[in-house]
Amino acid sequence: MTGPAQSQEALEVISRLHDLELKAREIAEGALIGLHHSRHRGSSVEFSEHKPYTAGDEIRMIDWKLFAKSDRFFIKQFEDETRIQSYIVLDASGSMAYAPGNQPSKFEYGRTLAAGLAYLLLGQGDAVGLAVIRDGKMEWLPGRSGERHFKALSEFLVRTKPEGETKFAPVLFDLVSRFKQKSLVIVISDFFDPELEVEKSLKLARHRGNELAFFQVLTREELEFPFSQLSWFEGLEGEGRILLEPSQLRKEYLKLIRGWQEQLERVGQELLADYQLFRTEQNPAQILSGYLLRRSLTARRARPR
Amino acid sequence: MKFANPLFLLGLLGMLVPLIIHLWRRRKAKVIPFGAIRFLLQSEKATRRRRRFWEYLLLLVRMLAIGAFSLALAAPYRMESIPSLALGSEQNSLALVLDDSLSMRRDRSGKSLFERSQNSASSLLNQLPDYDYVGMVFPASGKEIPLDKNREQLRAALQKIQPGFEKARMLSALSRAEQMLSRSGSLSKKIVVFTDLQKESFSDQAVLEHFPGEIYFYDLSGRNLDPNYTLGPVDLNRISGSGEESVKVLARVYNFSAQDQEARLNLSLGGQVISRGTAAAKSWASADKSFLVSLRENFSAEGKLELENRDSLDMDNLSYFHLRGGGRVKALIVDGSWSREPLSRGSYFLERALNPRLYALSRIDPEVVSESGFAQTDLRNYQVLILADCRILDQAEADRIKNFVSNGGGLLIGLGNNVDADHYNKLLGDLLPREIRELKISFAGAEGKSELQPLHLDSSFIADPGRHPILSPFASAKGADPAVANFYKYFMFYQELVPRSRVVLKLADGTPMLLEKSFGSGIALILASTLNQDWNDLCIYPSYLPIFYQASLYLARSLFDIGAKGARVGDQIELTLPGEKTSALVKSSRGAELRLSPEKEGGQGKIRIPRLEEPGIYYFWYLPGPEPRQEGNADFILAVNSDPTESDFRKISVKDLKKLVLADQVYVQSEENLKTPEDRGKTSLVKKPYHHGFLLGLIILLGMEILLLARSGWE
Repeated sequence: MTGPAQSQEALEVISRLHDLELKAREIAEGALIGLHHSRHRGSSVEFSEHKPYTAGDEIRMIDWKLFAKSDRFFIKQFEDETRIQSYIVLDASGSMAYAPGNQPSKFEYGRTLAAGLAYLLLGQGDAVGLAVIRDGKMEWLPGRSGERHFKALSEFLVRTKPEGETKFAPVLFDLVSRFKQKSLVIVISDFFDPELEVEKSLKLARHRGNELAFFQVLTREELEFPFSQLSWFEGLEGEGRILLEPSQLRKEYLKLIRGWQEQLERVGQELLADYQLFRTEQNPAQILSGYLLRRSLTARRARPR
Repeated sequence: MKFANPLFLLGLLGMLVPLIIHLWRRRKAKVIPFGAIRFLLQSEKATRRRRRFWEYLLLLVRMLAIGAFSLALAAPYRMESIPSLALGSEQNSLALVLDDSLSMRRDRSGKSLFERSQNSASSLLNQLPDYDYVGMVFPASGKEIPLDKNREQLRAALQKIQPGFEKARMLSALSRAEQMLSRSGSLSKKIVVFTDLQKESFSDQAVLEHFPGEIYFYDLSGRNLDPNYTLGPVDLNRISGSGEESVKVLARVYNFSAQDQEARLNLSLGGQVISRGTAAAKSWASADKSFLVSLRENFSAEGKLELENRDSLDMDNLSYFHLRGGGRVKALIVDGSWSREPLSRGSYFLERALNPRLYALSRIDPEVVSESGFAQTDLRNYQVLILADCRILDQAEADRIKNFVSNGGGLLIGLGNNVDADHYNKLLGDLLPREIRELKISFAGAEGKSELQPLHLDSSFIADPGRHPILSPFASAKGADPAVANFYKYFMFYQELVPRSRVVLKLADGTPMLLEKSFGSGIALILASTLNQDWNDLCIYPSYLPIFYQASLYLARSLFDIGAKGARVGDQIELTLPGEKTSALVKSSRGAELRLSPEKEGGQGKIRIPRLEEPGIYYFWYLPGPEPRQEGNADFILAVNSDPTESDFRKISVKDLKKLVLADQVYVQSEENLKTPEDRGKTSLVKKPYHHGFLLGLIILLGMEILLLARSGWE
């Protein structure tokens, strides 16, 4: 690339960067309720709860005052206020490029969502990593915290273009295995995995006690199939095209896509992970805020571990 | 398969149109990039077979519908071969049956059906080789032309025949044709029928044998969609009671067509239209319209009822009837109990019944004399003599009375206190219908079983309209029932059979009350009780007046004769000549005269009237009779009309026809198919269209298309 073309692209990137930053801030402010309370039990100050003493617990953690009152040993537990690590995994496969009409593509939507989340998490002082999965390969930024890291994240996001098939399985495990500590993994995708390996790969992500949330991004067209004329439907991941009379298929298609969503939800329940649907015509901040509210309400209820 | 409009077969190319649209839509389809293609592919796979099936079915239905439509437009037909009449080698005997009924007078594009059948028959004669025998049978008139080779003679005979006004008796005509052919020696025998195949024509009772040959029916009716109406026979009802007389003329219009119609009727009497009216006739139904005609004195007129509505057969829009009546009647009442006090006279009520003067117009002039005054009167001035409770002085007076009656006068005898039964029996003798017996008395206030109750007249006699002309007013009149009157006192009669006498009225227990006897040229009536209130109370009831008014007119032979007997064209009628008459003369309303002589049968002169071929009025006189003969003094009048069912042009179905007519082969075809004269081969070809099948197919396919579209709508 030379001269003007390069500068043109650079200008575009800069403007998109700026755009993304603004949007991310918007989302974060719109959704601003504490995203997480760290579940990692550290030795810090803030007291959380008592637990009966069992052999192997540290002696220094025993609450002597309580022992004086109750004549039993209790262990003091504290919430870890240190930085935790979050990884945002964004699907950049070809199907994410689907952009009906004037609406943003699923990828653009997902990117904005990812930027917003990152902003939010960084704002809390957490370390945020980012992985983009494209055609079975992964590019990633390791987790760091701080304002400057956000710049790097957004730049990374802006430069990414969706292409190729949706393949999570090999890379997600690879990513997870690099974590040094238990992390929060947020996967943003349409989960249109042609080989139906999404479930397997999500299970892998949950491995080693990582916390998992997965956000499905879908368009209205995909959810409602509002087409009426005989048309060729062309896949975005090289599946070829097919001529269809939409009215003849609508029923069957809607049945299938609902079934898929239900399956994802079920997987979410099995893995104790959060599943959230994002429709591209809806404001991400609103959905996120709703999601966070729900999560903060359920957070204190016993999640094992 | 051949086509009448082969150009429309190009429409079969239209079958490609749904296919082209199908392909064109594929080409025009837009490309839509789609994320969730995985699910589309899955659902496409799951529904592929079902979808393809319905899709191709719809395509097929559309293509077939267009194909069926263009085939139906192309009017396919196939040629069916029918053996030709004009066979070459062997000798044929042909009996032509030409329907000459009234319905064959119907007009079909400028020609009557009969003319058409004449033309067809003569063109057939031209086609046949000279050695063939041909005979003819006419089903309505019954005429026949025997088998013959002479073409000139046959043609001349054919041209002379005209259709009549009668119904065709088709089955008996076929049976006659079979008999005609059975006498011929030819090997090949054929019957050829030219007819309009009217259903009514096949309703006669002849029994047909199996005919060993072929019968060809040529249908001349064509497509008959024209309206047709006809008039039924006119029904006449006397409306009488007081002096004035009138007649209710009831017309019945039949509508033999599919649309309702308002029939416009003209009633004319003696050639002048005197009344008009309408009757709403529904399709395939009849409607009635009645006219009231007031009768004048001395009256005899031909009546005609005409339908103004034009139709394809005008001959049947006319119906004839006849009305006549006599002039003034002079009646002499001889009162045997004459008194200065009017109510105690024997004739007081009778005189007022015969002429109520101020209250109504009467044709009777009654004159009352006492028995002593009777001797001086000249009986030649009177047509009716009424004896009310008379003594009858001597044989001379009795002979005078007998003389009067035998010369044509009418006599009414009322009995009473002055009458001596033996005296009457002796003097009047055979003038009386029965010999008078003793008196019978019953009391009005009687209660005990031993005492007699007053008796009433037998109502069954009165209600019977055909029983006697005197009683005719009571058949329809309400409130004038003679049966309510009480009879306290009356003479009995000997039960014996007297020739030319009859009982007109009797009491409920069977006792004769009014008896009639023909005596010479006149008539005598005798009432067993009084004509006034002495022995009965009939005179205070409304029925008193019509009884004796009618009786007087009857005795004077001056009753209006509305009963001009009705007959159908073609009827055979027999007359019995009265004793002293030797022959009869019949004159039709068109002026033709015919003298009829009796065939002596057991001493009684019976006259057989030849077939009445035309509708109209026929007058009969018994000869020797009155001179000059006028229509008014005819002894017998017949109104002859055509049968209304003959105007019902509905055709017999081919299936029914083949059930009735038994033969080796029965062919039924349209008359046009005869016009293949040059084809002397074994067969002639006939077009059999069958585009209806394709039309039916089209309708079914369109129905399927609608169902298929509805189904995809539900999906």
